Amino acid sequence: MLGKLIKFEWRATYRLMAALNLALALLTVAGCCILITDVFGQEDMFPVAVLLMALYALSLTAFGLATMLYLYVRFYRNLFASEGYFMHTLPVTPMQLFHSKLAVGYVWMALSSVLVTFSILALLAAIFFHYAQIHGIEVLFQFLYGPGLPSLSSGNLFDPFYEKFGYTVGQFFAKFLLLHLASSFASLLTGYVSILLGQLVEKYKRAASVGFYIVIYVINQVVCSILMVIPTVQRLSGDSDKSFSHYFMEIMDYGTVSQFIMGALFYGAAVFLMRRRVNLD
Amino acid sequence: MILECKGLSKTYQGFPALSDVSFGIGGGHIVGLLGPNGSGKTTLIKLVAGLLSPSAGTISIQGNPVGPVSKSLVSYLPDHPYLDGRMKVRDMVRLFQDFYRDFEPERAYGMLETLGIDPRRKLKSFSKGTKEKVQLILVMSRRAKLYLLDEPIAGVDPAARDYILQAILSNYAEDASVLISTHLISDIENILDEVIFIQRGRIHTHAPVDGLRQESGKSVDALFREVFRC
Repeated sequence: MLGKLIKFEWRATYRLMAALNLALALLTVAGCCILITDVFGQEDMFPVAVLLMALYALSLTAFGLATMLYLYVRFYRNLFASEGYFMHTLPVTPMQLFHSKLAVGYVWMALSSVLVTFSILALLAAIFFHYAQIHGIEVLFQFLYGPGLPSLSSGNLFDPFYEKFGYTVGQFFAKFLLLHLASSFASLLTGYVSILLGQLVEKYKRAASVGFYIVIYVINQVVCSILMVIPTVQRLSGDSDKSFSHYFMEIMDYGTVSQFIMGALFYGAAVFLMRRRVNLD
Repeated sequence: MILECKGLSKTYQGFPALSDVSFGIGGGHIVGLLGPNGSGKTTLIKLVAGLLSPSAGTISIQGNPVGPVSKSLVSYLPDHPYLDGRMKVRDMVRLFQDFYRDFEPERAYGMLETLGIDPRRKLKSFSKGTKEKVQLILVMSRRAKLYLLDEPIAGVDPAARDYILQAILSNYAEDASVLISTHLISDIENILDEVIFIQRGRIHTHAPVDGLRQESGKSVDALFREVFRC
């Protein structure tokens, strides 16, 4: 039955989510096309460039928020509003209902998170490509890594990256991806747990869910900040002689760990709350 | 016994909606759950459907407690739209087919055709009455053991009521039972085998319709008006 529920959930969500993701992909392609031309080379185009950048940043925020809100609203409406009368009378367990929503929601949440990152990286790549076309690749690498690096001596474009950061480009992206996957899981469950906690309140369940969301979000941020302070303290106390780039990577590691921990805690809380007896008003 | 409730109670925010309700329904019966507004009819049906948890007491459906097994035996129609209005009717038929082994799509398409309902249209594009008919068709196209119909004729015109009652009569299996909640008693009186009068969360009367008529010399509708006179 879980497979059927996942199929149902996928069918119900894929149109809107695919349209949203496609819109972002098109926006990214359009952005790259603009950036590899010399359209912003002239000084009088500077305000237009700033405006477009601001619009792009707003679009990314709107895209992330729309994905998140849609998944939260669907979880609430499908399980605890009128459609819940159908879902909770299906011959399935509450845990199967929850896991179907979690599985499909997570796919969309993770995909949108990765897509946002990919979009930013694609635009940065377009900028660097254009810069290299005008000034040459050596100048670009000097610009990116600073002077004094034995850039391109090995013939490998990414060797200077390793020398500078202590990680290969592949390792860097793997860490980045892991952070996004962990934070997507924690973000999705933040909403689900808030909605489930809201159901414990007898009146004003939706308002209560929003309140719980704010509280859980703040707790998550505090835990994440505390964990991410550890490498900063080590650096400030002089215990660590690592470079700034290494310090940045450590912060990313601690961020990932904090999101794994919070995600696991939220999952446990959601399972506990879903196992409680259902009471649809 | 298809449905058995023992000592069933439900409290909402400190107020009792049902108090110590016990009754049983055997196979092959159409039972009217009758009572004024706020008497606990919907609460009782939601408890049996598994949408509410009792504060006390037990429910068993063919010997099974409320859960996935009992839900596979019960076909439930709520008193309001409960399906995603953006879905097409044919997708809903597929959905019911996916989740309920006892669902018969031919039966559903037959009834849709009789009523001239286009299965390619989205549910939200229909009038309130037609939406209710679609929901009833889906619910009655199952070969369930127990049908729980909460106010199935409340929102439709008298002509549609006749069709709905006919659909109920002609679609439930002989060994299955139907529990219909309504306050439109005169419309359904003729199809009922038993009635349960419910008042302020307690069962006032549970008796066969024929016996009740003979004993009181009145129709169920007249008796209801007498019992629940304000």
